[in-house]
Amino acid sequence: MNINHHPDDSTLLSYAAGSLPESFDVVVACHLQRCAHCHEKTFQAEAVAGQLLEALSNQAPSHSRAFRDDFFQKLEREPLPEPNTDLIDPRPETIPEAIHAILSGNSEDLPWKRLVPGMHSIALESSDGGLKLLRIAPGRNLPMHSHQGTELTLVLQGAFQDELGCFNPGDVADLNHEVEHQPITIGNEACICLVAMDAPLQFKGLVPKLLQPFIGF
Amino acid sequence: MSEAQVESVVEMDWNQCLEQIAITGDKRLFMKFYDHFSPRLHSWMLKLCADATLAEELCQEAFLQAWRKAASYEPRKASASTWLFTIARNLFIDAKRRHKVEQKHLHSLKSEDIQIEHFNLDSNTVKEAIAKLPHRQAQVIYQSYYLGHSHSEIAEIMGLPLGSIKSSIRLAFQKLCKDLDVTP
Repeated sequence: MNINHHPDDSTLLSYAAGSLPESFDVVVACHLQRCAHCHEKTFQAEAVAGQLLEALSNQAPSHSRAFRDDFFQKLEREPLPEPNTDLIDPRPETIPEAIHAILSGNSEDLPWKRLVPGMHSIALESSDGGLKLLRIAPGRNLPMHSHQGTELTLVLQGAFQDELGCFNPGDVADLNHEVEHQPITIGNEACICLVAMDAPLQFKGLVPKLLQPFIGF
Repeated sequence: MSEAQVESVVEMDWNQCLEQIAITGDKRLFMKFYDHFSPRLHSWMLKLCADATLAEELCQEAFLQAWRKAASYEPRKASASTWLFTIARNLFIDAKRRHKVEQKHLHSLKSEDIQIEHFNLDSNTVKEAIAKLPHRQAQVIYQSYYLGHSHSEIAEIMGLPLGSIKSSIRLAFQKLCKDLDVTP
């Protein structure tokens, strides 16, 4: 798969640090499944964290002796490490079921909610409440808008185009409020995206602004 | 001579140590690993959680998981410290999602000006790499790694546009990779 648009390095560092809101975490995790380049960057950010950990001063907190004894007792009760433990990814992500369904071509069965003609969405569960699936019919466009916060969009199916270029499956648009754009779907199939946002969009023009409560972004 | 002094004279190879633990199941050796990393991991978790009980709980659980997963450790992929960090980070993420980590008091942090001393670093190489960063870049690195703040939270705390925060993190990341010899 040819991926041309990646999350910003700052997003990958925060992913590695564990400091992204959950919705952004899920979008990055889905992108990483297909992108060796970003996987490598994430490993690098984890390696920086490893060096920061190793370099920390070893001044033990005053109560550490009691905790050490407590830990040692727990360790004594542990069986030996399993020699055949599967080589698991150190960060198993919870990829929502709906995304598996879309990637296996079963997007029609999902509980899409119509926002305006040609535009459907599904709110996905996340602790910060910022994760959604968005489906836009072929040839449709979103109104011109900017962002109050950050937005991370991963294309799962179809494609869209905006002022920054063409986004195909696997591509990520990592945007903040400095970017104003008007995405339009390209090709003959609906474009389905996984979107994480930490603030509502800011639409330009009266009609889109009036429609915002219905669009729900 | 204290245990800490002995350790500093005879430097352990913690990657080899973990491999050895996986093969032999030596719990005494694992306690050496624990003694080396526990104060470090504990102070990191304390900053992240701002909750002493939770920090201790995550720390203890991270070491138990490290013991159980020792056989899946691959030194070619990551150093022992990186591997331990990823285990603890995943536990922190789980705790955050279960809302066990209290909401940060963003405004109380506004006045805090993070200096190199806040990093609490012993190693000269890493200390120098952090000290070389422009002040703002050191601040965003500290907040991302040690405090677990998102880009928007950092922007709010520092009173700067999101774009500036992202570019500061990006530039600091590039410099740290170069100075700490972290290569793809």
